[in-house]
Amino acid sequence: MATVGGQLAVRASADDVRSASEWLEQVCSEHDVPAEQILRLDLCLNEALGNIILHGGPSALKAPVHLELEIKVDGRHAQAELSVSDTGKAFNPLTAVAKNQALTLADATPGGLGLTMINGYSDRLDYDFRDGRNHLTFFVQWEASS
Amino acid sequence: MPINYNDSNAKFRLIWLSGRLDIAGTAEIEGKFAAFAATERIRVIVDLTGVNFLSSIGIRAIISNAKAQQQRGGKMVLFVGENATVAKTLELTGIATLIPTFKDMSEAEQAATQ
Repeated sequence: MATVGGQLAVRASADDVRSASEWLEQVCSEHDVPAEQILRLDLCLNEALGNIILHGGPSALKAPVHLELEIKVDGRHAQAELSVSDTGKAFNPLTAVAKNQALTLADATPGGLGLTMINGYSDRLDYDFRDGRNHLTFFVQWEASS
Repeated sequence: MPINYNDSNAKFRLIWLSGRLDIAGTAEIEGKFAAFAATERIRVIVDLTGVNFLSSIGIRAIISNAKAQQQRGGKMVLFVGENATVAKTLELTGIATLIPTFKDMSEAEQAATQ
């Protein structure tokens, strides 16, 4: 099995979300992650950072958000796992209740779709709160070309 | 993040978005988007064929403008063409069931002007 990856620290601010996406794109492209899978990771990353910025509270600004990417290829099975670690208030997306979908536009309220996006675009999620930090990891899997 | 509109059809306004509708991209266009959507024509088609990244923040802007349009007595529909990425996100989040979404422009025009 071959494992490669990288790390990045960003601020919990809208300005740094684009930088995080550019880093993700660069590392993934260097290691031949297909564009479709990069997009899935990027969407999850944007939603995770967006949730920290919007809902993490003042403690989320105390320390950088740590990003860690690992890409593993084992024969035809390939997987990327991206961990997002922040000092915002504890939030476990695995136990959070997803927002009810509105039935009409009049009933729809903007917002609350980040978790739906992360669940929809990742193959698996892990969450842990330790050392005062949320650790959210999402996994994306695909079949590697031979 | 470009945003433009076209009033060449007298029955509706066509608003064209392109690029990344992430946090930064949405912040760039949301003021213009709201201003362009608040047209006297009250019928609006939003062309998303050039959008290559649609986050929940971008969806929030689309919902807000579609609701405002409805409250003005108007209607907003979405045109995605062959943009499978955006179509998937709209379906995944349930937006395609709230705001009429079309792959075919003639169907979008018909729905907007009904």
